[in-house]
Amino acid sequence: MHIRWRGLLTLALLLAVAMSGATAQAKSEHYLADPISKASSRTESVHESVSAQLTGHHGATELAEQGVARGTQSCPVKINIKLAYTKSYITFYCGTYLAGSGTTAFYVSGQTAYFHGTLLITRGSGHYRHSPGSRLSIAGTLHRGTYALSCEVAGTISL
Amino acid sequence: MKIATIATRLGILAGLLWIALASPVDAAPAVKLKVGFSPDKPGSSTTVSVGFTIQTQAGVVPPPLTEVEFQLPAGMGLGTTDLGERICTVSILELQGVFGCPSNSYMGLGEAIVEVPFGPEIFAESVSLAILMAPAIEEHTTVLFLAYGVAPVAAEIIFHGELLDATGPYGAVLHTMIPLTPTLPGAPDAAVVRMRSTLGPKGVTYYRTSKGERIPFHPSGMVIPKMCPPGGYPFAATFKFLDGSTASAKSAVPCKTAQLRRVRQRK
Repeated sequence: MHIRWRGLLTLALLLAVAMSGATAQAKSEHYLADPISKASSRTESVHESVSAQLTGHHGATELAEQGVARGTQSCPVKINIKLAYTKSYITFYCGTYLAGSGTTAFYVSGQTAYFHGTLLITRGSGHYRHSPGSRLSIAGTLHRGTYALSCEVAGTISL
Repeated sequence: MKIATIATRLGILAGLLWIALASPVDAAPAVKLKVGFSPDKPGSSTTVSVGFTIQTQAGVVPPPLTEVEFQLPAGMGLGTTDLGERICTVSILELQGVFGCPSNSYMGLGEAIVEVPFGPEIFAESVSLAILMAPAIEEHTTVLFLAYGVAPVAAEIIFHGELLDATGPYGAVLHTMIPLTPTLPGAPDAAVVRMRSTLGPKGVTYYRTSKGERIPFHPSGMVIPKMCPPGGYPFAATFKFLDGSTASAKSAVPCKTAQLRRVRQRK
């Protein structure tokens, strides 16, 4: 009798282990099938060469620029750049699907001003809906006579 | 002569020497700072004028100035001016003097009074200043200062000023290390007692070439922010002297009455 009870208990334990394994596998399959969870582990390298021209300004220190980015995305670009003595504050829009902003170092040498720093992706849509929070580097120049801007935006972003 | 007498005399001599050397240190200099905008109209391009006077006891020359940190108000900058659209270098200044520099590298002009104690007399010399755009150093906007005087001492000194980050109500600090200026044999280095300088288009003429013709123009200066902070546009400076003493001074360009009214209304 005692042996029979032990046998039943072992069977129950084995069944429980088998069932929990099946549940875990099902959960794992569900995770892989979920496009959101699947996408969050993927990244993409981005490298854009941007050239933009002045389209407007707000006061003497905030410039609005428009142009194109050529590279991974080749998107139309809008850049707002606020200039201080040693820093610039940049907002960058790549089409309607990627936007970022950041503070960069800024300095002047003759007719050229230089900036470099990091952009934090603040908005993404479509392919880039999981990109907010990613960081890209930005480095470029601003011509102090024409305000023509050119820069390189590069890095790895989450998809 | 007894050893004790010699020791006493040496002691007295050392004491006198100590008093003589210590007196300029004890008379810690005070600095008066004066700043202004010309024109003084918010939202317009301006020339910033800066002046300071180093005050000591009458008849005492201050110790030579070795370092100045000049803080500029936030909301301004050089990015959208064409001030210093060309650069001048130390080697050009050394080889050809100020006339070797491009006209379009001038960012300001000024003058200073330096004093040299020589025996019981104090010689004063008027020195001209030129401020020029220089190549950036370690990714900092850099200006070159050229100070040149003729008599009684013919001297020319060149030094850099770098724009660095600042905190509080200031947008940047212009950090300048000033080299010592040797004077007459046996006399101490020259000491700056007064300086007046501009940063902006006033008194500066640039040239552009159009259809083979050289056309003069005035560059645009830094723009005065439209919003005036309470207490005015703040400036401050810290001065360090050869003897290790320091002095600080603050000043502000007052807000226009209309601006103050606007700020109060917004509150």
